Amino acid sequence: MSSEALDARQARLLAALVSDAAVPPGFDAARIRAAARGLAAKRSRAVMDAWPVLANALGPRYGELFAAYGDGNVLPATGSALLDGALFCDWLIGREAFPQEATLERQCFKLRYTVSHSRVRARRGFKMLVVRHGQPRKWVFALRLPLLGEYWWQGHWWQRPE
Amino acid sequence: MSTRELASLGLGLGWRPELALMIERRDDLGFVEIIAEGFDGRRALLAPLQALRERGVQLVPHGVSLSLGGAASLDTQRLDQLARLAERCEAPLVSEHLCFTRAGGMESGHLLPLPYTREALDIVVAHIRQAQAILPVPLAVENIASLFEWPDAEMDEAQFITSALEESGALLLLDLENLYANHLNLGTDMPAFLAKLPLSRVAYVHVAGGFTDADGLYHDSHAHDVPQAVFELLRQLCERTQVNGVMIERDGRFPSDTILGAELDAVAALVKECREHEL
Amino acid sequence: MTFNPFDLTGPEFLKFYALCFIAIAFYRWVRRKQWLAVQGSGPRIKWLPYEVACLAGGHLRVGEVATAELLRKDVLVLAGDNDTLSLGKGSPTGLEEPELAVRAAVEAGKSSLKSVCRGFVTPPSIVSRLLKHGMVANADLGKESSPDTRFGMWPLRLLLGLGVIRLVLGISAGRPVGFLIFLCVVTLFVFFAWRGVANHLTGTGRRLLMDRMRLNSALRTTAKRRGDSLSHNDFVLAAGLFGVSAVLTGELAWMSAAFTPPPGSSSNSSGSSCSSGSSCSSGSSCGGGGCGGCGG
Repeated sequence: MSSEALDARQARLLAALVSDAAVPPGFDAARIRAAARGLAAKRSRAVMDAWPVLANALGPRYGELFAAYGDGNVLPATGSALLDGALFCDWLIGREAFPQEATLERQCFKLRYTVSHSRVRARRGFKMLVVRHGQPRKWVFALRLPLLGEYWWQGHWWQRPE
Repeated sequence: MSTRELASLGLGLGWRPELALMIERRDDLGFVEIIAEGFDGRRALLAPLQALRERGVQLVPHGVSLSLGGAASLDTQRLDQLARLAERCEAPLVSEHLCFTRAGGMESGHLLPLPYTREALDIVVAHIRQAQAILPVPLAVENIASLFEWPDAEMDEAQFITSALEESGALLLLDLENLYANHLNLGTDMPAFLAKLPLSRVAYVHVAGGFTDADGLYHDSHAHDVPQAVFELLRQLCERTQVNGVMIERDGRFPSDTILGAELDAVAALVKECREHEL
Repeated sequence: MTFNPFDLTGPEFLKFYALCFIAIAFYRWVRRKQWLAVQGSGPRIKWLPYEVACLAGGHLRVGEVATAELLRKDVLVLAGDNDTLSLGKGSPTGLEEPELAVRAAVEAGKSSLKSVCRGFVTPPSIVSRLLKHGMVANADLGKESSPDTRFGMWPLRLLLGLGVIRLVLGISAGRPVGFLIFLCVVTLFVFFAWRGVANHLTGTGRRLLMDRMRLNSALRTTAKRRGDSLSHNDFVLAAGLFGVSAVLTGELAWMSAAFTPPPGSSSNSSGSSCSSGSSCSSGSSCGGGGCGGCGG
């Protein structure tokens, strides 16, 4: 038996778990649905963990917004919670629901990582960030240098943040 | 490869940032398990982990995304990352799961069960061998919990695991709570399961807690206290074989250090009691 | 063979200038590191958490930590504007000196959190041991430049002088000098930044602080996730060493708007920049996330 046949069957099962595709024959539909709910909750928690400022900023709306995003957007095979959160940010921006307080977290992500072929990679080179943030709004400037790390400035110099 | 070649791990705990302080202050831990996907082997170890290493505590990378049982080819980037991390940690072994996590270009973010068929067995054995060729240290694979099973099984879970271990030469990370969960949700016969497994291949053991939902399904949340039934399984296991390492997995709803410490003490006491009994 | 930088062409001079600048910066970095390394970290005494807070951030840090602890214990209450303080129901017994001082200030009518913290003066009992063992430069925690801030200043002055002379020559010869002006401005900026690096610590004090931060990495990692679960001493130590915002997590997150964190502190890089799960590494420590558990 070729592994392509098994791959197809695994894909059908996965589709039933992460999207509203039909449950393949032979499986207990109620159990599959229960597992699907568990998967969705786990995905939501994983993104909350990787993007805490965003989750906090959305507050009680996080759950419903993430569920709406998750329903239409399956995480690609090369993905991670970090990527999922970044894509969720883009989705929120598209619906004008992105919370301002999470701007810095998103910009931090862009400073430190790059996404290519649906995979998150740490940046190696130079990158600059300028954003207005906070209450009251202040200019934040950050510089990412290869080997030397990150340098932040908001009113006065900060070293590599931790 | 049998566990005789592996140095004893002792008492362990899953390392989480929330538990870093407690782990640092506890002086009887022989090892901690770190989630491999959370670390980059190209960079220096996190300071608290470095401190543990300096104290002689072993670090065991635990992967959750290799998808060894997936019919699609292995993601070699993830495998290389795991190998690098193992070297960075000077780990005695690494562990992963007998499951699949992605298929058809989609990621589930979860450990999904495999069909217990010859076809699936061949694939997982081939992938384990491929992984072993790249990893610098032994690989242990873990049994998972699942709410559902594939239809048309050719063998039971214990037979599948045993064959996978024997044909690939991998070690076993025996998760007693997952066994308990499968007993509650799928009717797995726990004593028969333990009897069939090659216990000499058990590299270390997981214990954890879960909860039963309103529909009567048990979920291994790793966010609740270890149930008595799992302690009982641990006792049965210790009576049959010398256990190399036992650890508690706690991922959420973290209790106070005192409560978690007491749970660890209970595990240590149980293992010690069984050892003394043998002598 | 003599070398005259004024004989270099425009672009060559810019490269020469930039290289010198980098060399001077590197020299300063190395010398400061060496200087700090030979400072001992003082006698082996058990420093109290508030003493460590004073070491790490002077009056402001002690004030903020004390305020945060009082809020945590409900001795003080924060209004919705994240700045107005008032007395709460928590018992004022068993409080430490800095906490008593903050409470007294609020009781006397000072209600703005920011003004209480900024105007805070560390009680002498906290400063006395630090002063006695040479960790701080003076009793009122005034800032003083330590000897190592002078490393590289003269070479930088000389370089700036060279740049200015070349600039003048260039202008009088009608050559393009835009980028050279930019370099000179950057040099001036760096010069003032280096000169301005002063704090209340002596070299020994800075060394002690660095050691404390390194030794308490596990505390920091846990505080970043579960600040609310820490004991009093752990909370004061973590907030003292790493800043109050490093501890305002879990059930304490409601306080974080009142204590502005440094800008880069939003997580994302689990740990020392790992890719998913929890923060790894120094910083937004990652390494968290569970595995198997499906947890409904």
